[in-house]
Amino acid sequence: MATKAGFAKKSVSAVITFVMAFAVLTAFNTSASANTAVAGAKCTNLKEQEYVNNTVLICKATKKGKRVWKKYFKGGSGKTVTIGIGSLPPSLEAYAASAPPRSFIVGAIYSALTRVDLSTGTPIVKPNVADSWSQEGNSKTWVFNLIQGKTFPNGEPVNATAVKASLEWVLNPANRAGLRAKISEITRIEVMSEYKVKITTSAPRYLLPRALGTVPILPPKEFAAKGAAAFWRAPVGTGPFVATSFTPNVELVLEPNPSSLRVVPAATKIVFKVIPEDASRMSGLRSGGLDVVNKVPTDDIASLRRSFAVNSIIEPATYHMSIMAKSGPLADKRVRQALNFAVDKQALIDRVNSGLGSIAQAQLVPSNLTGYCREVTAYPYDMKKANDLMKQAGVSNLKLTFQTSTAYITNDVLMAQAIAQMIERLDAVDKVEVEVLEFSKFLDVYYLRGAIPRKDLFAWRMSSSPDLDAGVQMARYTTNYSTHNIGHSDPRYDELIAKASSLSTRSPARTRAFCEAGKILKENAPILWGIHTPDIWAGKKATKRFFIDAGGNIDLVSIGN
Amino acid sequence: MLRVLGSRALQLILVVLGISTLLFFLVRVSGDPALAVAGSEATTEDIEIIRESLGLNRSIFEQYFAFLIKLATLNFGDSYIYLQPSMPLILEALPSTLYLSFVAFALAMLVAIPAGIFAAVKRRNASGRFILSMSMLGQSIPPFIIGIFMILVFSVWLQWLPSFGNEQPTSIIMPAIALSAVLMARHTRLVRAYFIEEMNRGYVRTGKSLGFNNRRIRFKHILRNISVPMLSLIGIDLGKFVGGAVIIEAVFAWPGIGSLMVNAVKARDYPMLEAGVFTVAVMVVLVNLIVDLLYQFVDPRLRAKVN
Amino acid sequence: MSQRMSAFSFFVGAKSDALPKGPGRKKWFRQAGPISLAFLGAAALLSFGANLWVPQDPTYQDLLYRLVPPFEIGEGVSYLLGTDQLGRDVFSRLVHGGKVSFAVGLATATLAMLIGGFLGLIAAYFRGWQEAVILRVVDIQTAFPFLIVAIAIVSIVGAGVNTIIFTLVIWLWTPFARLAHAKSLSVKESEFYRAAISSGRSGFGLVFQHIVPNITGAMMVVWTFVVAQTIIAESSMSYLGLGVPLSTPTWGSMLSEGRNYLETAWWIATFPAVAIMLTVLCVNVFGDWLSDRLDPQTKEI
Repeated sequence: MATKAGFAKKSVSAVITFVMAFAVLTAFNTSASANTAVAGAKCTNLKEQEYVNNTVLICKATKKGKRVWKKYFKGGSGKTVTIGIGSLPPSLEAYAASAPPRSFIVGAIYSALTRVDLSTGTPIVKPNVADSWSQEGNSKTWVFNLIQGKTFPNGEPVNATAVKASLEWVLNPANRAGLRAKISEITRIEVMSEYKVKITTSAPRYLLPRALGTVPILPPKEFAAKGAAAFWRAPVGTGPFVATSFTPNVELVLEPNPSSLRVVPAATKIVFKVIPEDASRMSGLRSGGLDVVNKVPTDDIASLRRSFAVNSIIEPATYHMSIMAKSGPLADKRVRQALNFAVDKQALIDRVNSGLGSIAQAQLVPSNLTGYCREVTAYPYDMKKANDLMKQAGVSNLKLTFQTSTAYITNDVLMAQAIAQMIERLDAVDKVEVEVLEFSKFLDVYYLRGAIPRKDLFAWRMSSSPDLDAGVQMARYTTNYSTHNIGHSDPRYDELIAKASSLSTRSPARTRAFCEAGKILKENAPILWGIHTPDIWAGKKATKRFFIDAGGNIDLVSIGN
Repeated sequence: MLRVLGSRALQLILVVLGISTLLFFLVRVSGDPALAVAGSEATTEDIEIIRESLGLNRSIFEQYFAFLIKLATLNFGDSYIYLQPSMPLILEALPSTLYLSFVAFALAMLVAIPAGIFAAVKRRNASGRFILSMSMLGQSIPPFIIGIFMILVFSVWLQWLPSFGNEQPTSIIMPAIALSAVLMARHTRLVRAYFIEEMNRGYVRTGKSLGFNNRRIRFKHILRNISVPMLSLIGIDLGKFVGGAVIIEAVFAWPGIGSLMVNAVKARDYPMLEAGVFTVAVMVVLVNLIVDLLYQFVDPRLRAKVN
Repeated sequence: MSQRMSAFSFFVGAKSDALPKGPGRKKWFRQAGPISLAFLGAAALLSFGANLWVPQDPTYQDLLYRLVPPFEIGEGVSYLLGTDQLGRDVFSRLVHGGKVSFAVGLATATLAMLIGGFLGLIAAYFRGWQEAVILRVVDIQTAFPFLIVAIAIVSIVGAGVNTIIFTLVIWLWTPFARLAHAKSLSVKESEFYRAAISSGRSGFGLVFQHIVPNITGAMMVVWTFVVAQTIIAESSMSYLGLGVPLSTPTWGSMLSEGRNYLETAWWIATFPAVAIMLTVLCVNVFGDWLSDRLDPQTKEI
C-alpha cells in the first residue's frame, strides 16, 4: 500500500512538474514565435516592462493577484545620471556586436524590429519597429507588421523599405557587419506593403525574432548617402536616446530622443564616463562624482553595501578553461577529469568572489538559459578521486600553463591564480604557471592566430546575451571549430549540436539533444568547468530605479526617474 | 636664428622618422590588428576580409612605403578601432595633456625656484636642510603612489576633490600635484646647487665688496646666471612631460593623449599610434625650439655667437 | 644640446653643496651616506637570502585566510604584515619582492653604464660621424616617452625580468653616454692626455689608461641615481601590468594588486609603497653623498 501511495504521489508530482515546466517554457516562448505580441497585453512576469506612448508600464500584481500593467512614469521627468563604466565601444557602430557594453549604446540610440526584454531573467520578445509578427505556412517565413506613422529624426519614414535596406546591408558580407552571423540564415526580405515585411530563412529558425532584436533599423537614404563610417560618427536613430556627444575612450552623453519610437526615458541626461581602472572607478563612486558604476570588484561589495545600492546578476555565461588536448598527458580523458575533480568551485565563489556567482554545472550556460540541461551536473570537488585518476593515467611531475585574460572577466586574474594553486595540490602536478594576457594578446590566443600558442589551460567566457541560449557556445566544441580547435572531437556530439540548432527552443527534442551532447561533453571533459561569474554594479541609493537585466544591461530608460 | 630653425627642422624630421620607424616595426611584429578589430564574435573569414581591407596582407615593406607616404602627407588614415580619422582624435586629446603638463610644470617651477633659493641662502640653517631633505624624499616617491594615496585621502575620505576626469576646475589639482612632485623636488635641488655655486663665484664677492646689497646680487645677477643652465633642463623635462603623463592619466582617468596611445599599442591601432607618435615628437621638438630661443635671449654670449 | 649641460645634473638634478663643507653640517648628516648604504646592504642581503630565513612561501595561497589585517595572530598562523587578496603572506612577498627590485636596479644600471659609457667613449674618441650618430640617437631617445616604447616591447617579447631589464637599459643608457662623452672630451683637452699622446701612446690602451679612470667617479655617481630611477620605473611598469609574471612577487605588482584594496585592506599596497620609497630614498641619499666625494666638480664640464 505504502509503495502504491508513494508511487501515486510521485506520479502526480511528476505530472505537475511536467505540466508546470511545459507551461513555463511555453510562456517564455510565446512571444518569440507568437502570432501577435501587442503592447498593453497582459504581462507574464513581475519585473517585465513595456513601452507605450512615452510611458513605461511595469508589471504589477493587483490586490486580486492578477498581473496587469501599471503606469510607471512619464518620460523626461528625471535628472542627470552619471555612469562610470570600465569600457565603452570605440564607436557608435550599430552592427558590430550585441553583448554588453556594445548593447548599452545600440539599445539606447537605435531601434530594431523587436526588443528583447531581459528584465525577468528570460528573454521576452517585445514590439519595437515591428508591432506584431507571425510565422507563415512552411515555418521558414515570417511576416512583420510595422509600427505606423513614425519617422527618423531626419524625416525619413520608418517603414518596410528601411527594414529591408538595413537588414540587407548587414547580410552583405562585404560590409563585414559583426552581427551578420546572427541573421545569416535570412535568404530573402520582401516589402509587402508600406508597413509589412516578409522575411524568409534558409531553414526554420525559431529564434529569428529574438535575433532581429539585436539588428537596428536605420534611415536608408542617409545611411547610403553618408556611407557607414560617416554615419557612425553622427548616427541617426529612433531609440529612446540621442548621442549628443561622444569622445571615444572618455565619455558618451545621451539625451532623450524626440523621435523615439515608443518611449521617452526618465532621465534628462545620461553620461557614461569611461574609467578603466577599477580603483579609480570605485573612488569615483565613493567620492560622489559618479551615480552608478559597473564591474565592481567583489571585495569592495561588503564595504559598499553600507552606503550604496549593489546590484548583481549572474552573467549568462560560464567561466571555464578549454583544455588543449591535442597531445601529451592532457590528451588522456582521465587527466582532464582529474583536473575537474581538483577544483573546488564553492571555494572560488565563497573566497574569491565574496559569495557571488554560482557553481557551473558541467555546462556552458547557467540554468536560466535555453539549452541548459538539468541532468548534467558538476564534477564534485574530490581530491582523492582526482589523485586516483591521475595515478591510473600514469601521470606524474606534470607542468601546466594557465592562460588568463586580465580585467576582462570579473576577478579573472585572481581566479586563475586560485585555480592554479588548487591544481598544484594534486600529487601528480608540479607547477601551474599563470600567464596573464593583455586583451589583444588574449584575442590572438583565442583565435589561435598570434605568436603565442594556446597553452594547456585557457580561461574564457562568452556572454550569451541577448539570445540567452546555449547553442552558440556548445558549437565551439564541435570537431575542428574554426576558431576553437583544441583537439576535442566526437562525431556523436557534432551530430547532436547540428540537430539541436535546427529545432525550436520550445521543442523538447532540442532540449534532449542538448542534454545528450552535454553528457558527452562532461564525459570527454575538454573543459575545466569553473563558475558562473557575477556581474556587479553599484549605485548611489538616491539613484532611482537602478536596475540591471539578466543580460547585464543597465535599464537606461527608467533610471533616474 | 635661421640656422637654429633649420637645424631644429632637421631634428624634427630625424626624430619623427626615427621613432616612427622604430615603432612601425615593433608594433607590426607584435601581432595582428585584425583580431582586435574583429572582436570576439567574428569568424575566420571575417578576419581575412578585415585584413585585406586594412592592407595587412601586403608585405611589410609595401606597408612601410605606404606609411612613409602617410607621414609625408600627414594623413594617417582612420583609426582601426574608433573608425574615425586618427589625427583629429589625437588633436582632440592633446589640449588635455598639454593643460595637465603645463599646470604641473608651472606648479613645479613656482615651488622649486623660491624653495631652491631659500634652501641655498639658508643652507646652514635647519629650515634650509629641511627643504633639502623634503626634496630628497619627493624624488624618491613614484608619482603614481602619490596619486593613489591622494585620491584615497582627498576624494574618498574627505570628498574635497574629484577623483577622475577633467570636468570641474578643481579636477586638475591632484593630477598636477602628483605629476609635478618629482620635478619639483629635482628642481628645488638644482636651483639650490646652482645658486650656492654662483654665490661662491668671484663676481658675487666683487659685488659685495663694491657695496651692492645682497638682494640685488642674488636676484638680479645670480638668477640671471643660473637661468641659463636651468632653461636647458626645463626644455628636456617639458618634452618628457608632454608624453610622460601616461601613468598619471591612468590613475586619474584623465582624458589625454597618453591613455589613447597606450590603448593604441595594446589594440595595435597603427594609424592612431602613428598619428600620436608624430604629434608627441612635434611637441617635444617645438618645446625644445622655444627653449633654444629663450636660451639665447637669456644668454647674450650665445646670441652674439649665432649672429 | 648635449654639451650645454652636464649629463649628471640633467639627469638627477641632485648636485648638493659644493665642497668644502661648512661647519653647519651636522655629523649625522655627513653620515647619512654610509647609513643609507648599510641599510641598503642589509635590505639587499635579507631579500636575496629570503629563502633562508623567511618561513612562508611567498606564493603560497590560503583562501581561508584572505585579507587578514597585519599584526593579527590567527589560530596557529600569524601574518606579521597581514595577507593579500589570495591569502598570501604580505611580509614574505615583501621580502622576496625586494629581490626583483634590487636585481633589476643593479643589473639595469650596470648594463646601461657599460653600454652607454662605451658608446660615449667612442663618440668622444673618434668624433666624426660616430659622434654625430650617437649623439643624435641620444637626442631622439631623450625626446620620446619611454612608456609607449616599453609597452610595445613588452607586447612583443612578453613580460619578464629580462624584458624589463632590456627595456630599461634601452631607455637608460643615454645619460651615461652623454656623461662619458662630455667627460672624455674634457679629459682629452687636459695636459696629461696631451702628454700621453706626445709620448706615443694611442688606441684603446690610451683610452683605458687615461680616459676611463678619469670618468669612473662621475659614472659611479650617475650609476647610483640610475639604480633609483630603475626601481621607480620597474614599479611603474609593474603597476601598468607590464612587469614580471604573476608568480614572482615584486613591489610594483603588489602595489598594483593592492590598489583595488586600499579602502578595504590598506596593508597590501601600503607596505610595498613604503618599501619602494625607503629604498629609493636611501639610494638617492647615498648617491648624493657619493657625488660629494667622488665627483665634486661634475657640473663644471
